[in-house]
Amino acid sequence: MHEERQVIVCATRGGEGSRALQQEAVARSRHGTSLLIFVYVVNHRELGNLEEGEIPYVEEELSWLGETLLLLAQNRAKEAGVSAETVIRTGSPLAEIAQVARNYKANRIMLGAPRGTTANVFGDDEIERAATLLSDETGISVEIVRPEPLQQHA
Amino acid sequence: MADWQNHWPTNILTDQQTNMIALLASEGESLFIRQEFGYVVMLSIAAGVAILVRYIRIPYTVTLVLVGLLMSILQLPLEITISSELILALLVPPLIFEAATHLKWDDLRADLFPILLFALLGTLLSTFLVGGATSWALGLPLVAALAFGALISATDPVAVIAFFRSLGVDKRLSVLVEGESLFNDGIAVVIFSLAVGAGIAIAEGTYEGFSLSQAVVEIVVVSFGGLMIGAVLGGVVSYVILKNLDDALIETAVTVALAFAAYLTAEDFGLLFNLGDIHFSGILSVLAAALFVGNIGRINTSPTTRVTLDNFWEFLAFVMNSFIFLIIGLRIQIDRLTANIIPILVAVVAVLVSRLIVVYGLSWLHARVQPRMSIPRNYRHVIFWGGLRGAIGLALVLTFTGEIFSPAVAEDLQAMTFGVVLFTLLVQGLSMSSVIERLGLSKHEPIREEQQKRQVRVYAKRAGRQELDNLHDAGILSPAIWKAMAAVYDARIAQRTALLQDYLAEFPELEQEMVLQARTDLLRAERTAVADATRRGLITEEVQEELFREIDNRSSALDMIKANRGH
Repeated sequence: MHEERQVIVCATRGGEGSRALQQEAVARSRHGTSLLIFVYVVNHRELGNLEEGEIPYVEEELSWLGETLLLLAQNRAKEAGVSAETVIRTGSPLAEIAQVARNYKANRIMLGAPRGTTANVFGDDEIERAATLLSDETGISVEIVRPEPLQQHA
Repeated sequence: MADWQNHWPTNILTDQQTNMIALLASEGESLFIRQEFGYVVMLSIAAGVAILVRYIRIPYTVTLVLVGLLMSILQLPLEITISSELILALLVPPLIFEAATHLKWDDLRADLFPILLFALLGTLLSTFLVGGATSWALGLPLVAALAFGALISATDPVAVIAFFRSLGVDKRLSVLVEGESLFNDGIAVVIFSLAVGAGIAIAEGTYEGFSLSQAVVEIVVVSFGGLMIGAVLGGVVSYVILKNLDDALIETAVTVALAFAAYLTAEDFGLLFNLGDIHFSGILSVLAAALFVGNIGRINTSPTTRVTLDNFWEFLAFVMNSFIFLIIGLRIQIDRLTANIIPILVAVVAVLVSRLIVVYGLSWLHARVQPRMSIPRNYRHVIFWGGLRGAIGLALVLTFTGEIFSPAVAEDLQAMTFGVVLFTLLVQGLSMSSVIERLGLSKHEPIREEQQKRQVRVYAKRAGRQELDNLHDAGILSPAIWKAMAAVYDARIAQRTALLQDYLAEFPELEQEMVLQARTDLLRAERTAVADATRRGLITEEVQEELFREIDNRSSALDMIKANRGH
């Protein structure tokens, strides 16, 4: 019987949360015929209030960073035999992720959260609220992935 | 011969007078040359120590003190005039200015209440606790003991902040420590001046008794006045000059003039405006001016100009700090310390106990007032143990020459100050790193060190592999040996690369950091390529400047991203 292709949108920003969700998404996709969409949203507001003249350069560098991180994620997925595409957008992270999910008719959205309560792109401890908002906005189930607890290193 | 001598009307002087002037001038020149030589030696030593600390795990400032101490023991003939004025009016303003320009107003405002609580109430409390304890235990005159309590209450964060940067502690902790130190430097000087004023009044028989309310009013007026003068000067310079132009040379000159002008205007306010003996806090004036420059004056400053300004101020702060800590070492006389070991021990205990009461007591009080902003327990331990003493205490104690208090008391106070400064720098300074790590406040160090080790092993193996190819290409190695060794090397490289990748998979934040660092290196390479193109005559200097500006803007954006992501 033909299995329907699952589309998973993975919000990527770099850091431990994003990497954990990439690994989780790749691990799940090995069991099915999934397509992973790695999304990076360029949002200069994460750096606070910037001068008008600074914004283009910050966006350019964030975009450069985003492209690199997306390619790293895509290559890892491909090495694991999983199809993956990359999308880079500019604007509000929640709105852009929702838009990408709708465009790709995604079945699931995955967000990465850091280990502790460290601030993430959505603000301190706001990731659960962001997940609910995204789910309400798109009607797509949203999952939060957290990394394994830190191991002690000698 | 000095230039002024050529213009001197020698025809109206006798031969004897002319010879005397020539002799004095030559002695003056000789003294000047000897002093200049002294400063050159100190600068060279500072550079040498800066190189040395790259290989040892001792903070730069502590190493400078130890080197100064060694020079003092060896009695090296260095002709350097060390006075309180030199330290306070020349060396300290640039240090305060440089540190305060990097304090973001938003960060400072978020913790302004605890910072002011520590700086104002904490310094007052510490003055009375240390002063009371040393007066009681050592029989020092109360006013002299209070002057000591004030001067020793000024904390110096230089060594601690250096640890914070290398260990990657939370920004809030850094702001709390640096903010407290910047403000309490000013407050301590004000309280010290009051105590010394009382000492002079007692000596002259005009003392009318101590009034706490009057003292507090005076502290507030002198401090607030200093802040206002600095704010006005800093505001005018920032809004009128710095915000409206973008020129590295002018902005550097203006900020240097501002740093010293803010200090001198506040300290000599009465003299400058014919208002008698009125003076305000010079240090707080510099602090306020620098906050304006750092938060407003730099708004329209291009990254290129900012880089020039930062480099200049970093260099100036490096030189001033180096001089101060070398001077501390040079001024310490081991025989005087050993002769005054009991007063020193009493002073050390008093300083530690008072710091303990101030930090934990005021943190508790702050937590009652602002429970949501309460200072975490492990931060309190670092603030307590990180209360190192340095330049301000040293500068103030050098004003005691036996005129205000008796020579014996002045010697006691100097020995106690040098003893406490040395203790805090050597014992607290050297243990600070392990305290931060034990309290779990170091974000990166062990993880980053491990990553660096793994990375450099791959880097080294690859370099070896490259050399193997070179030996083969040069015909030094036979193809058979080269092939065998290359296979072994390749296997090792693959093994090391896998270990590095595993580590990066476990700590992905390091991967992002590597990406950002590589991008910084690439932008630097782009800048070098543009300069190279100019040298080859491929582009004009105007085009070079435009391309430099663009690359600098991108570097600046990258720095902001790094800072935002905690790298």
